Amino acid sequence: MSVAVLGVLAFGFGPVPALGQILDPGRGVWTSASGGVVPHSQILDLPGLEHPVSVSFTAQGVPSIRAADDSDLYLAQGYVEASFRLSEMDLDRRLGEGRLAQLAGPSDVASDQFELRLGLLRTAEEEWAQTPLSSPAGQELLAYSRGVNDYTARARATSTWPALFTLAGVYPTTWTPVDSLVVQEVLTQQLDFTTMPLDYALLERSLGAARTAAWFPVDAVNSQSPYDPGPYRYSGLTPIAADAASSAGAAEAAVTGASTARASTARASSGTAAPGEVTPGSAQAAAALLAEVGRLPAGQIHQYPDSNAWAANGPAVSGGGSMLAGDPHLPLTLPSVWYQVALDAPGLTVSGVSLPGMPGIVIGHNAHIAWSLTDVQDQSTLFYAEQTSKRRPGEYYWQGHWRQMRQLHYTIDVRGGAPVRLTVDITVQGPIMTQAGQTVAVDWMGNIPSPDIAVMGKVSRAGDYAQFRAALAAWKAPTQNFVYADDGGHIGAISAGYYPQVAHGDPWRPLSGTGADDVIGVIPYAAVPQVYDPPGHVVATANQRPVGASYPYYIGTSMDFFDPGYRADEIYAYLRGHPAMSTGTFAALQASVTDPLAGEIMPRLLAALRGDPALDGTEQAAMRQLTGWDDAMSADSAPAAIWYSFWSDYLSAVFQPWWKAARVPVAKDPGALALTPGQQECLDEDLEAWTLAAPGNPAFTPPGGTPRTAAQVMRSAFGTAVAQLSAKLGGSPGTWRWGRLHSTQIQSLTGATALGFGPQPAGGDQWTVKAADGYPVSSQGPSWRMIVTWTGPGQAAGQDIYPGGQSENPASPWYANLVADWRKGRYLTMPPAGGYATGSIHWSLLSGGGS
Amino acid sequence: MRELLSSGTGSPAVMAPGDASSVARGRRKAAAPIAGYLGAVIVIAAGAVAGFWFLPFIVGLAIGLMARHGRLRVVLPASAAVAVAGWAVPLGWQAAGRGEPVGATARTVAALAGLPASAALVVGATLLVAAIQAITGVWLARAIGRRGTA
Repeated sequence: MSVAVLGVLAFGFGPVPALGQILDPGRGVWTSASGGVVPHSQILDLPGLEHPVSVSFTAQGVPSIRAADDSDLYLAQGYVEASFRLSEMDLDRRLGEGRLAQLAGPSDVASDQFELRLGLLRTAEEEWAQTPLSSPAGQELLAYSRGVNDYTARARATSTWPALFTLAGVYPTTWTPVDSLVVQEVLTQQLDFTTMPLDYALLERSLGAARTAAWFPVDAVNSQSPYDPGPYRYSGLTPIAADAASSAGAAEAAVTGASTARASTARASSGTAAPGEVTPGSAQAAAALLAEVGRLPAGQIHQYPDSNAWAANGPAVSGGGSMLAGDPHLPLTLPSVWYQVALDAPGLTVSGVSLPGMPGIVIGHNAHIAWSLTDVQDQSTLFYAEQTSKRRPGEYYWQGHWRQMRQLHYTIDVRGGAPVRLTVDITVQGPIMTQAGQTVAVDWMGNIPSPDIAVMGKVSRAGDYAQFRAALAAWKAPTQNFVYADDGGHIGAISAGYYPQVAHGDPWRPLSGTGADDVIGVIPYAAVPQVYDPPGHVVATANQRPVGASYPYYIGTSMDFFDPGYRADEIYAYLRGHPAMSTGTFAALQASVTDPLAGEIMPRLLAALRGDPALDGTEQAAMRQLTGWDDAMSADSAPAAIWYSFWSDYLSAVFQPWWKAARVPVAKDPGALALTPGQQECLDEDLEAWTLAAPGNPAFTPPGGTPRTAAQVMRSAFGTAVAQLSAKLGGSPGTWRWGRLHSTQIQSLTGATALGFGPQPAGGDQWTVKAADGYPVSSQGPSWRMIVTWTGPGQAAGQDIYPGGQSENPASPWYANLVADWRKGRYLTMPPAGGYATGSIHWSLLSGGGS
Repeated sequence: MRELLSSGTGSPAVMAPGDASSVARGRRKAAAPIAGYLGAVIVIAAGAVAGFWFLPFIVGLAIGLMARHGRLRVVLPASAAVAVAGWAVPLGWQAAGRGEPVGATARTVAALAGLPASAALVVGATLLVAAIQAITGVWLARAIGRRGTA
């Protein structure tokens, strides 16, 4: 019995962990308390350093790192980031490498299987193989890894691991450059991998080809504000680089220069898509794969289309220089996806945010230029229905011949369970993602090695737009809108990355895998959306389609996460209406909760309601709330609550009868197929356009029902909304505050509810500049707000804020210390690029000395 | 320590009034168990810092062997108290001596383990594990003792 008790304490039993070791006050989880105090000034030995490095922390924990060369700089960055974000870094690489179950147990096997099939690890390995060790990026990755490993060696020697590892009894292995590249791939997946063609297939099977093409067109039906309005020129295609998974295409498929996909675009937009192209097998495969994706942790693949970045110059800016604002919208987590840092070495002075696990910074400014990013939201994921035969197992038919699939075998270690074996089949298009009903492969641009770290290294050193633009030429994935402002008063934007083009077939559907529909090239860099010093002195990207309908290349459909353009419209209207803007003007816009869609629709709704004798007292009171409303989705606004509930019911009143009649399989992918505002943006666009310009659209009349107009459906939906709000919130309409319906939550990366923040009542919605995606609880939004003002050569004033803190340790004062400022729209001063000694805590990092 | 663990098992010492040497003996007799107690606490605490998490068990075993004729109702609480104190000392030093957020860390651990985020829960569990080890050690010693006398 004694042996049994001791054995359980030593090794654990079933779900009970090894409590003896875990709770040991000297070596167990309690040692993580040392990471819960604000660090003190100290001298540290870091093997691998060539020269001393100084690190200075602000009171909020933002480090400025000064080194004598790049290698020492990135080594120190690796050490510092691991000191404060090791759990996050390890979780990220585990996610991408399919090793989560090793830490978390059987619940994460599905995630590991998905990632190993998709191939983030394979791509990262290929990327590293393509990186010369002597190149700046190679040296950067090696030095960063060395720094991380210096920290883990110290943690191992002193048993001061973050509690997550001690609790699981699983500790971080050696950090490698491939791990950093996997972290890059994880972000690429979160921004760039979509399942849109699968959802389209299910819609087409249920709604029919013509209606699906009409309601989910390639070009949105509403009016938008592309940042690159043209004119455009067709410039042929650029051959696509080899895919890490398949090494397909470029050499074997001819680059014809045809733009056939754009031709079929017109067919889809006109609602004349060829019927019957989605087979029952394809629909079954789509449903199976969507179900698998649905089991992944939230945020693992692309979900919401929200980031903002804009710039202004000349007369639009006070003093005539230039200004830039950026707020990338990502899942809000504690710790944050970002780690703020300033880096300083000869030839490199930069301040901004990094991704823990990757060297360098992603968004920020140097001594001469500033930049921020938004996601392009183009179609980077193509699915292929492979032709297979039961008589030819393991083979597929491509370009007139049967070919052997490449097979890879993996073993997934599972904490507290038996290892799971996985075989991944790979075709010329990419990995097989499902064989349920139809063998489906995916050709994802994220599987093409993209030298993002090398590119960002060059961007960080760029001194003008020409250098900035030249650096981004090598960027492949994820496609990003890079917005730019410099100390010479210039602004610009360029949407760098790979835009796959097919010679035949509709890329928004699952394509044929027999060869004719393969990707034949990408849009040449000279022809991707871009603008420099626009005549209006402002440029803004908010995930809207960056180009107009006459753009000669296919970049995705309205179903492919392009924002409906409401935020971009609001930003452009604001910027054009505010001459001689200052930092405060930009800050006010970042905090704006004006809903432009409400501004467009409200006059029509009020017109429909006025004079309606059927309105009861509560409905009349609700209507009075809307009259004179400023369209602000403030947390304390009653009309905001009424508006949002109305739009939700309006959307449902129009489309639900069609969904029901066609038996749209919403349960297969509720995130994309459910009739929820903002979930399927093109339906919001359709309804907006029909309400404003086509109130007699046949879609307002339910199948087999009495003819209805927009006004009739609006009156009905308004009544439904008021009744629902009465039942839910009670009292008079004046008390129905938006914050009672809508809240913001910052979730712990570990999933532990108590380690997150909120939910707290919050303003905004998915269409406001201060975006709040998700309803009723929003857990995605501005993950970082930055404003950089250029007042002269080398003269930048930067301010920033992000929801979280620099430390991942929940016991640390730096864990969530920035959340309150972020919620209130306040900013901190960014450490200057090239400046130093911004705080009172100093680390001296030495090699061969110190304590 | 033997004295501590033997107290209550034999006849109480009877001190003759005015007998100085017997007073001194009595004091020594009283001090010895306290010293033993403190020594055991220090051993467990130092062991915890060194990663010897199983020392409460070893100490419990030693106590059990040394006090195999002692009353269980005294030996068990005493050994448990020694173990609890031995693990409480490093925790206390972390919190009071080094100023580390032990309570917040306990809440974090509870939350990560999927339990209610209560510091008392994890602190209590920690001290309970120490106590269980010591009690298990005493129990094993008793079993060995019984086998030895059988």
